[in-house]
Amino acid sequence: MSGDTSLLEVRDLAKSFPIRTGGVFSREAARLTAVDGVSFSIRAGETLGLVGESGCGKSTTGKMVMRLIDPTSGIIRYQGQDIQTLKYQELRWLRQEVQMVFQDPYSSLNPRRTIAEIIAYPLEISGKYRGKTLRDRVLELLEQVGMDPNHANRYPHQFSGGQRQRIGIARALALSPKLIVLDEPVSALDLSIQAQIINLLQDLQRDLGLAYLFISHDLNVVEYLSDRVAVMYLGKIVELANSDDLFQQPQHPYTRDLLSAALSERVRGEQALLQGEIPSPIRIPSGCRFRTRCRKAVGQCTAEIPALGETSETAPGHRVACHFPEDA
Amino acid sequence: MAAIHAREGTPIEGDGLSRPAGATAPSRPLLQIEDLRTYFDTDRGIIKAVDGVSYEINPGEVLAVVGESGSGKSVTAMSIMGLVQSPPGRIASGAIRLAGEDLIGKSEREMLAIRGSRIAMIFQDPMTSLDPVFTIESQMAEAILQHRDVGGAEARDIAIEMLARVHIPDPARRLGAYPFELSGGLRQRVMIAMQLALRPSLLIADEPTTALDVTVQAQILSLLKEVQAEFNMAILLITHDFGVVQRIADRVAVMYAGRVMETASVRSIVETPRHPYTRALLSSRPRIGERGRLRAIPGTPPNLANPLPGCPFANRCAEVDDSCWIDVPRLRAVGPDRQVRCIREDSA
Amino acid sequence: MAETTVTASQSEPSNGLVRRREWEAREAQAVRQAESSLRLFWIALQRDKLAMASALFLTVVVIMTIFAPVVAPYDPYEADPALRLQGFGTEGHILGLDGQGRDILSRLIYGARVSLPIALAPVIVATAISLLLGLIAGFYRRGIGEFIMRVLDVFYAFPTVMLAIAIAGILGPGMPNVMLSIIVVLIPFITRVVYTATMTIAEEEFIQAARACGASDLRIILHDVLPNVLSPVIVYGTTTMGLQTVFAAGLSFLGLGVQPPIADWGIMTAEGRSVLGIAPHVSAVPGVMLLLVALAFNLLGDGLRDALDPRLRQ
Repeated sequence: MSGDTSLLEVRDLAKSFPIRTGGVFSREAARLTAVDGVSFSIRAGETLGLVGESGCGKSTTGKMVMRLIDPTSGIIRYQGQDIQTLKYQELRWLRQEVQMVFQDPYSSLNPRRTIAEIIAYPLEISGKYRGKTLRDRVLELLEQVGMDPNHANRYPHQFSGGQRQRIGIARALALSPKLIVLDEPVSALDLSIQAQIINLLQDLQRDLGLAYLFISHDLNVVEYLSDRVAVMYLGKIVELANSDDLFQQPQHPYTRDLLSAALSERVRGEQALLQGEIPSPIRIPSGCRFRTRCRKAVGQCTAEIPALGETSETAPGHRVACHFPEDA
Repeated sequence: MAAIHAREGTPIEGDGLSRPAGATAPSRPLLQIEDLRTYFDTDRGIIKAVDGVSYEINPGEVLAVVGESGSGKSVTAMSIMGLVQSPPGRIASGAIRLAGEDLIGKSEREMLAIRGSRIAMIFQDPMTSLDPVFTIESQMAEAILQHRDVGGAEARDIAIEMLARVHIPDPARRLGAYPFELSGGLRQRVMIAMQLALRPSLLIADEPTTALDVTVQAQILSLLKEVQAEFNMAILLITHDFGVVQRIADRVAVMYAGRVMETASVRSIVETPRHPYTRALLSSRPRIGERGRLRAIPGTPPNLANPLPGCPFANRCAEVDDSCWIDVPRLRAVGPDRQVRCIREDSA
Repeated sequence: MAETTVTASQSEPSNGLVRRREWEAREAQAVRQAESSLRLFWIALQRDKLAMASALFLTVVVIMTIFAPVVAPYDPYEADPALRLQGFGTEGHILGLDGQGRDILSRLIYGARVSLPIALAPVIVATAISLLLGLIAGFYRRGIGEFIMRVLDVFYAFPTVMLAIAIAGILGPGMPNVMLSIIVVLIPFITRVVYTATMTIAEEEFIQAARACGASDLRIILHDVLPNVLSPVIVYGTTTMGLQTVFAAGLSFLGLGVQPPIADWGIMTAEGRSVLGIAPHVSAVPGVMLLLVALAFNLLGDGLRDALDPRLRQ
């Protein structure tokens, strides 16, 4: 893989949070491992889906890409630049290039600002827009996300969840970024609205050539937007493949179980359910971290951490971290 | 009462619903809701959150009430439980009959007894219904002692038995745990165990798996199905998720803007939806194995403070014409196991 | 199938269109006049009769204070020894006269010019300082925030009244010193309110969104955090003003504040002490006035809290 074609490149990214005891003389009691050695890349105009259950580290990864959280180790390169080393001016450049849409359409908009002010915020900070150009750009953005420009002076509480999410998308689009981190952008929305937003995201990608890092827990929506999908479990990517390959021929037992849980609506009655729950990220199992819930686990799984690698007989680019991957 | 089977094409507003296909004949429905109207008085006027809802649940049946936010599905459940806060809420009219006995107008004291022993409820977030400062044991024992005629030691035994029934490993040890020490899935299991201990005939489950991960969601649903059969308990399942419906429900009532738009067996709803809203909703959902554009429903759900003059779905419906804007269509029986609220069914 | 109850067949199609247009007009109207936050706040406040009455009362008091020379019937220092200690309803002196024969109503009105600023100015100054400290402490919880809150905790530990008396005692009597001591005493309380509100707001996603937009910390604090912490601070400040009116008067009463012969409600109450048995009104009038003003600030504060809380508004 040549690094120069990718817009974003993430190598061995890790993040752990100290858990401190209370009191004045607090000390570190344990570490919570949120992300543990994650690598992926995103090309211009491409969507990478990042899927997993709560606590798998997918949102933390997204926030590190946004430089909202600093990684414990690892490198994130955007257009070849290590984003950790960016100074003030360069960071401003990054903020124009990479933007984010948040999960909660209620908490992600400042309740005391009109939607015009909210969308104008990044434009004002950039210093490139003021006066009439600023106003025109805001109105253009409102139209682009399917909002009535006449509503520019209303407050967020006057809009429904779907409309608020459109406003959040307009804010992210304001500075014409090349990459947008979508952190569960539709999971708080009603079914009939979810489809509108997914379609909008598809249209914007097509029209503006955007790349997305699409973070979601819902396998049903991931396929609609993603060219490639990475499945995360307890801080690690367990499988990474083209969307079609992953959904049609999942190789990791966890991916299979996730898929069958999501598909179960079509399978009534009893079927093999994934047992147990995700272990605590404070006490991660040795070896393969999925082994405590895996049907196929044997001694080797306890002893050795499986590496994320291509299995010889499959399509190139389909990588799986399992000692005993499912046959295609 | 509902024993009269609605003739095909006959308006049945204010009457019970017909029985699911194959259910044994005229046993009395366990719960019967008739033309329920629950209104809220607010600054912006009267919000008609529930505006003429009728459905019924037979003993041992799982009825799923599906709807988006603002459809009134949860407010209906709160009305059944007598938990609508007043003011601003009030039950303007209608009847809620549990085994023939109207619950509307019961005193808080009477409702307290019914809530514990005959109707139980579990919520989306079990953390809000569990008291964070007490152990599981003391919370379960308190509920059991209050509603069942047993002693302290016996209550503990029942609690352990119930925790085992919901497949909580090592139940005796878990009794000493505080709610925050348990995962989301385990907390929901504890909630279910607590409700089962009171042996209710109806369990209302309000989005019981929405806050849980997919894999855990599947576990909890199969648990609900299992205990439902074991205790011969009816379940009123409130959800926005057709996936959940298809897993465990027998019948479905689709709600929109405070009204029931269509009811039918799960199979009929999913395979041959008849109401345009049901159809639109089903085809708007994303599904694995499909790509491309989704068929979204345009617009947003109606503002309940300004209800539409006619059909509540008229402003978003693909098959709308002028006549839809005149009167609210009636919910009428179209076939043995189905009712639809659409003007097309009137003229068909 | 042909049910006659169906109305659709009888109506003109245009009837439906008319109804549709009507609905759309109503919808547009509802959105147009859509509740600006300010309007909703005003509606909610108006419904609270006690808060509205309090606001009205305080407005009257403030107007009377500002126009004291016009409103007051006498010079507050002019004594008519012949009428000493005369009670309510004395001709020309509705509220009676004090021990030196001065008109109590006039002294009450002029007294407000001392008592109110002495109570209110420190609250305003303390709120400004607390906003600064609380915003910084709540936004940077580790390090500087930790330091600020720990230092304030030390002040917190002393009983408020004792602390103020100690400060006023050390600095000596006089109006500026009283005000200074009140400011010092108030800061830990108001800062904690700001701090808690700031912490809550700082957790919201729109703060992260602001970061993602490239906003500096200073911009985030001023543009995003400050407008959202103002309402709890305004509520707390209003309630505190009531308390401080009594507290400042109390310091004057104890001889630590303003010195006689200046008219001040605290001093007036103190002066009436010696004649409490024979002329209770001399103390009672300023005392009751203090009570009413304090109560009004409290009720207004409660009303503001309810009106500013969007959850209670629904």
